[in-house]
Amino acid sequence: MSVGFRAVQWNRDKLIYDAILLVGVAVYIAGYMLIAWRSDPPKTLPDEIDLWIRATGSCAFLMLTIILSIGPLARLDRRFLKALYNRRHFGVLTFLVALVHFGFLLDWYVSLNALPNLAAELTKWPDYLKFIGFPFKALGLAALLILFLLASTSHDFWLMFLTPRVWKFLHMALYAAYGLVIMHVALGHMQDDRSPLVPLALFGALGLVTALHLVAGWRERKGDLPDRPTAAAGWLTVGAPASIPDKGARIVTAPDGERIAVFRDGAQVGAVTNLCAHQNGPLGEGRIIDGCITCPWHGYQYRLADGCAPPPFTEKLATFRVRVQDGLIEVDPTPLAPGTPAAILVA
Amino acid sequence: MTRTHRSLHRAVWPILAMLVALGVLLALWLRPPPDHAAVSTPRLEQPA
Repeated sequence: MSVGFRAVQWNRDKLIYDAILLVGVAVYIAGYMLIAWRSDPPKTLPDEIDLWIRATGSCAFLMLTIILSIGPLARLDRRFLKALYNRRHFGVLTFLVALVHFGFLLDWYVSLNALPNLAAELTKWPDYLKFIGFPFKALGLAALLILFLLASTSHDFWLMFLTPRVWKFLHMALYAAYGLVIMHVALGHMQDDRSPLVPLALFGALGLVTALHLVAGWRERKGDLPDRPTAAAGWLTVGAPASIPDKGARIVTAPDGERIAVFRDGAQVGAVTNLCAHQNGPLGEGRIIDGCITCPWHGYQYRLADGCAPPPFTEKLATFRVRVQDGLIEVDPTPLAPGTPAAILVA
Repeated sequence: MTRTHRSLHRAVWPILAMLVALGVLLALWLRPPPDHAAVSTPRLEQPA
């Protein structure tokens, strides 16, 4: 949306979001250290560093679990859209916490003057054929590398460079990172710590994230079934103008399975692709604010009349022809070139 | 999200969740008995 490249586009909402994140991380780590220190005070420097390893590692795991829950939660309940708004900063902070976790691990080896042992552990190739005894730190390292890749490509510059479609697929690597982190804990910490809390936390987190994704995916499934053309020449019937909420939209599905958002702003009705030009957000779940279709994910805006972002912004959406037949709104599922005026006035 | 992205998403999650859950179950099942478990600190191994 920016006309020029800026490192980070701060605004008040993002600052508040980031402040909450930083306070949350600080409170979690301080709380963990306080409780662990009081229940079993570390006797040596390596013991103390070990506590920091656990505090930062569990914090990064919790943050990953929350990040992976935000997407489906926002699909299920609009109140979670606020958490989605700046999720990329959440992801970058998670990478930084994971990096600190790795830093403490290095510090632990340094404190014992045994850094070469880490390299030996990671290059003990026969262990890679074992299940119990697998070099679990390699799993954590692989997850850290994925998080680095995602954090370093999180800016809108990379989103535009790679295109939203490629960028979204690339960032699905987070799912693999989550699996690696869970196995890192299961084959590492869980082998030593007999507390039932560890497997419970792993199964609980995995179960929660999976259930949310499956429920959200199941609900979306119905919307992927193409609407049958009910009018002549393949036009799709949307309904009476009043059936489209004012300053809102109804979504219909084209024969190719892609969705079309049909908006109404008073007497003006127009149809645009349901995919926001920014991150393919679901425009049809947004509202018309200040006369513009506004994406519920990050607030990108487009004029209803022609699908163009208001100046000085340059994004354009594909539009669709609409008409009124026998009092019902119909939409032609063949997209027009992005930015083509296609909205109409209805009585 | 595009239709392809949604479809991939629906296919990936059940597979990933089953694989990871199976991995954790196996790690739990096969872990050594408590008396053989190491002290709860990062493992220190000898260089090769």
